[in-house]
Formats: sequence, C-alpha cells, structure tokens
Amino acid sequence: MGQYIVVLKVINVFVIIVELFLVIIALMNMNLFFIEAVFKVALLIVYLQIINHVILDEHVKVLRVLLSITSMIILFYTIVFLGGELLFALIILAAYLMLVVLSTPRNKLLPPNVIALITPIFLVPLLKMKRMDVLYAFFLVATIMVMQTTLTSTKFYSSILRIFDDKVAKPILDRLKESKVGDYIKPLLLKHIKFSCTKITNLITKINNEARNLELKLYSAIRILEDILQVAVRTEAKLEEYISEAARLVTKLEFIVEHHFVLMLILVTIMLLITIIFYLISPLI
Amino acid sequence: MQVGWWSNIALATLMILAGNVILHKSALFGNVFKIIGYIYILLFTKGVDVFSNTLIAASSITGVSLTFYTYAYSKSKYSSISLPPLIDLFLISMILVFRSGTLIEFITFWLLTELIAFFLIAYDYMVSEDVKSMRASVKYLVFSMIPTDLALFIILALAGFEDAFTKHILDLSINISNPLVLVVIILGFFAKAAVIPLHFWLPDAHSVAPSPASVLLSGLMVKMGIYALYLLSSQIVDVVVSFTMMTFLGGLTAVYGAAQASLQRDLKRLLAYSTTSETGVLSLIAGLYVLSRDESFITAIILYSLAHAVYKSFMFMDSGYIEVTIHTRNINELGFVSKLSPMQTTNTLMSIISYLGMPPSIGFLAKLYVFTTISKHLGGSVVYFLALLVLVLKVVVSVLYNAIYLKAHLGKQLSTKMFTGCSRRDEVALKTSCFTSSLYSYVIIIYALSVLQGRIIVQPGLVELLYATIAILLLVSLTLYPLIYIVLKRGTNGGVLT
Repeated sequence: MGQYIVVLKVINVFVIIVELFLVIIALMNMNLFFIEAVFKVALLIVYLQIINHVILDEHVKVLRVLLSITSMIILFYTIVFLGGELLFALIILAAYLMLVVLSTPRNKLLPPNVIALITPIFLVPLLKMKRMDVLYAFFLVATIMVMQTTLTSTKFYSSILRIFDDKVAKPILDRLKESKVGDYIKPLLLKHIKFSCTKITNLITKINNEARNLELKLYSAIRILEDILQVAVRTEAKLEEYISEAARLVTKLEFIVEHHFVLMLILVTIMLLITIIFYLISPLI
Repeated sequence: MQVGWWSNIALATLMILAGNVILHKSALFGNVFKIIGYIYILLFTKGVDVFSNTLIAASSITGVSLTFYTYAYSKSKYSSISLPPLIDLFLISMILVFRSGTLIEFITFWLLTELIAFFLIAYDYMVSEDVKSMRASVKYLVFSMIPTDLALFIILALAGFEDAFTKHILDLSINISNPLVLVVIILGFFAKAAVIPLHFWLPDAHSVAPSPASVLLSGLMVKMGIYALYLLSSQIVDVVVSFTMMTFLGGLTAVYGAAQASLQRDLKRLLAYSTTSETGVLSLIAGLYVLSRDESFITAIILYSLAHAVYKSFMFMDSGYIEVTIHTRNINELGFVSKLSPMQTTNTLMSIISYLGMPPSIGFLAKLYVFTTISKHLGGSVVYFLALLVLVLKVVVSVLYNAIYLKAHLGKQLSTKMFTGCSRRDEVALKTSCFTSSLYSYVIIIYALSVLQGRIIVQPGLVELLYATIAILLLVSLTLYPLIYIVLKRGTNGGVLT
C-alpha cells in the first residue's frame, strides 16, 4: 500500500473532525455563513476521493466522481435559486453526497465519511426550532453522540453495511440476475458510460487541438515578428558599419587638417573661390 | 502625509538594496537585512484603500518568503547571485504601483514594473542565450505590454495632465463614454491579467522565467490587471459593455484555463494555465460588481486575490525546488518527490488542501465568501446563476489539476533521475522558504480577518465567535503538518530512496 493512502486517510479524519466542529458551531448559531461552511467542507471529503483516483490513474472513476459532484453543486444552487430553502437544498446535497461516497470502493473510513456527510440533515429540524427548546437540546446531544460513536466505532458501521449488503442488496441483485434483467442492464449501462466517457475525452482532445492550432498560428505570427526584429538588428549592424566607416573618414580628415596645413589652406581657398564664383553667377542662372 | 509613505518606502528600499550588497559578503546578514526591509513595508506602508492595502501586504509577505529562496535558487541554478536584486526591484516597483496616489505615479511605476518583468522573462537568454526565453519575452512584449500601455495612455489622455498629476487616484472621474475606447482599455488590462483573448503570453512567460520571477509574475503581477479593472469600474463607464466583457470573457477564461491546466504535464505550464483560470474568476467577479455595485464583490475579489497570491507563490516555489533538485518538470517522470523530501510533500499537501477549502485557510474563506455573495444575489438575475455555474465547473476542474500536480509528489513512478542539484545548505534554504510560504495559507487568515472583518461579518456579536472558531481550527489544522510529515518520513526508510 502506498504511503499516500495513509496520508489521505489522515487528512480525511481531520476533515471529518473539522466538519463536525463546524456543524456544532452552525447548530449553536444558526448562521448562513456557517451552514455554507459545512457544505464547503463536506465537498472536501469528495475532493480527497478524486485525488486518490487521480494518483491511482483510475480515469473512469475520476470522471464519474467529477460529474457527480458537478451535478450535485448545481442541484444545490438550483434549489436555492428557485426560491427553495437553503436547508432543503442541504438535505438533497447530503443525500447525493452519500450516494457518491457509497458508489466508490469501500475503505475503513467510509462510514465516518457517510456520517459526516449526512450530519447536515440534523441541521434541518434543529434550525427550525427555537434556541432554548428542549427538543433542540435533545437533537444537539443526539447529534454529538452519533458523531462521536461514528468516529470511534467504524467496525460497527461496516458490519451494518455488510448486513445491509447481505440482507437487502444481494437478494435484490440475485433476483435481478434470475430475471436476467441485471445481465441486460449492466452491459448496457457500462456501454453508455464508456460511450459518454469517449465522447467527453474526444471533445476535450478536440478543444485542446484547436487551442494548439491557434497557438501555433500565434507562434508563426511571433516568428514573423522575430524575423522583422532580426532584419531590424541586421539593419542596425549595417548602419553601425557605415557609421564606423564615416568615423574613419572623419579621423583621416582630422589627420589631414592637423598634419597638412598648406594643403588644407589650398583646399579652403579653392572652396572660397567656388563660393564667390557661385555668388557672382547666381543672378545669371 | 505624502512625505510619510514615500520616506517609508524609500527607507525600506534602501535596506533591501543594502541587503543585496551585503549578500556578497554574508548570505545570512544580507538576507536578514532584506527581510527587515519587507517587514518594514508590511508594517508602515498603508495603501490608498483596502484592496491596495491587501496587495501591498501580499507583496511584502511574498518578499519575505522569497528572500532566502531566491538566493539559494540563483546560486544553485545560475551559480551566481545576480537574480536577487532584479527580483527585489521588481517587487518594489509593484508595491509602488499598488501604493500610487495619483494617475501619473500609477502609470510611471506600471511601466517600470513591465520593463523589469521583460528582463526577468528573458533572464535565461541573458545568462545562457536560451532562445525560448527570448521568444517568450517578445511574446510578452507584444501581447501584454503594448496593449496595456495603449490602455494606460488612453486613460491619461482622457483624464488630462492636470488631474493626472494633482488628483488622488480614487477621486478621478474619467468619462469613458465611447464604447470602442472602453473595449480597447478593457482589453489592455485583460492583456495584463491574461484573460482571453490576450492570455497566451502567460504560459510561455511563466514557464521560462526563473521560479522566483514566476512567483511574482503569477502571484502578483497579474493582479495589477485586476487592480486596474477595479479602478476602472469606479469611473463613468458603459455598464453593458464593461459588464459583458468582464463576465463573459472572464468566465470563458476561468473554464478554459482550468481545462488546459488539467491537460498539461509540465509543472510550471500547469500552474501558469491555472493562473489564467484564476484571473478569469477575478474578472468575472469584477463584472458582477459592475452590474450590482455591491461592495461584497470587491471584498470577494480582495480575499480571492490574497488567497491566490499566497497559494500560487508556494506552488511556483515548489516547482522551482523540484526543477533545481531533480532537473525535470515533467509530471510523468516524477512521482517520487515524497521519497526525496517528505517535508516538501507535506507543504504541498497542506497548500493544496487549503486551496481546496480546508478551514481555516485563506482559500476556504475566499471561496466561501465568493459563493455566499453570489448566492445572495441568485434571486436577482439569471446572470448570477450562470456565473455560479461557471464557477462550479471551474472549481471541480481545479480539483483535477491540483490532484495531477500532486502526482509529481505522490505518484507511482520510481526514482530514475540523478539528484545533483544543489548543496545541502541551499536545499535547506529552499525547503524552509517553501515551508513558510505554505504556512502563510493558514496564518494569513488572521490578517484578512483583522482588515476585512467589518466587510465579511455584518451580523453583530458574530465576530468574536468567528475569531474563536478560527483560532481553534488553526490549532487543529497545524497539528496536521507534523502528522503528515511523520507518515511520509516512514515511507522513505530513514531517508534512503527506494
């Protein structure tokens, strides 16, 4: 067993403790902020399962949990949006979460997880009552007891689940097998799941390819820009060459000025003469 | 008062720069000097409003956690310490952008920040002539700098020089009535925040830049775009145009970025695309603020920005650590980091679960506040419901890419790489910085509550309860650190790789 499984379990236990703590706070204060906090932490339990499946490379399971959790959160807010109560939404959420957790492979932490997820249900009757109600106190104590028992006696709950499996689930499955409905439904269901998985994967790949194409086009645009920049750099280099050539000429001229004074004098005289002649003949042009 | 903040920042800058000089003689004293400088900014520099204040705090906190990290990273990867001064200048220029009192200060420091960012992205080209980084920096220049500068200069022209120099930035009332001009301005700021359609410079830039630079580019620089959008939303703008652009393009970026991140196998590219997704969310919330003018959305943006800055800083630091020690960023080749360093994996796990919503982390508070604020408005318009739908999709996909990132630490792959990265002392410096950065995700909630308590909790008498709850949960959560570490340490067989 990988070390990460132990780590994820440790985190899971912590998340459950924090969840239960928040449930108690929410019960005591009946505040919307804390109720949504309970919802948020409940989701974390499912997130941890996704992480587990991703590390194990169980892609189909990841997809299944992802789809479930998306539909669950959307369902939650749809009820709120349609004017339903937040608490009603919480009940449905808790039931849905429980289904999600139950549909994934079992481990020793499953019962506490389930209980941590369904505890928001306890909020509903309690939040409807007044603070100092006797029933309120009763429900509060009952909730805390259930939580504590759950955390300490996981074996008890797993045995309940086993009994549920033996007494309820197995007979129903056997019946279905006998009537051959199960044989028909299961492959059909698997086929549909596989089909939708392939479709989604294809869609994602297609989107990715399109994005790649777009990026490639942009890359080519960048390359054109790079070419332009390179041309600019080359032009600059050529310009530098010309400038250095000009600088050499100037240096030569300076040398002539300094060392050939008579020559320069003759040159200047010639230039002066040209200028005078130009001025003299300019009115005639 | 004006002299006050200038002198504070000037003094802190001097301390930080002096620290960089001392670094050449004594690494410990130099870095400590720099940390004091950043703490000085955190304590004595107040922003122009709550958002600016939070961004300054996030910047200085990141500065503290990056100090030793940058030194060790630069020494291990480039065998020199030329990177830390550039990183410090970049950070200080960003702090100055967030603290700017007038429009002209804002534009000046913005340009300075962009220029330093350009050199940071092209750093590998300057050091080892890596063409990739040059290409990425040109991409950044064309698709981020030019559109943003165009937007800034249009705003300067509309505000007029007199107002730009004299009026306080929050008192400006620029009339941007022309829809075309508004579109150009918003696109300019989108380019900085890496929102679709000008998002593609970010994955390249963030993946080729040195890790400390990626921390700042992703954690803080993209927030400059969001901060500019926030300042823009208080001007006289066409509500329909600005709202439609911010929500539609923001929502699209949020989902697209998250989907792209889940398909990446390069650690830094994964993180870069996730940043695109997060800025999409921030732009979406800004759009909802423009529509509703409800201040709660601004509080949501502040909290989300803070959470993202802290979380993303750590993640990029972690990817840098992996790059320096294992010499690969490919997730398919990794999967054994927990065996190499249980401490680093513990930090990553704590950071990821805080981001996913473990109370009392800042990630939990930010996401909770965003969802609560939107659900408050659900009865108002169908737009809020659609926004919520987009956020749900984004959150769910974000779980996926976080899990993929975690595969680098906890995957099934066995060690096949040589570890000749850095000296023991530098590795300790890198790991310690990562630990402090990961711890901030939990501790910073105290800062967030102290600054924003009036905005978050409106019900009287609930603040005390919230503080007590946070304190208890903080203690409970922090005991998780040693527990995870012990479990992972057992798996390494006394430090020997299996």
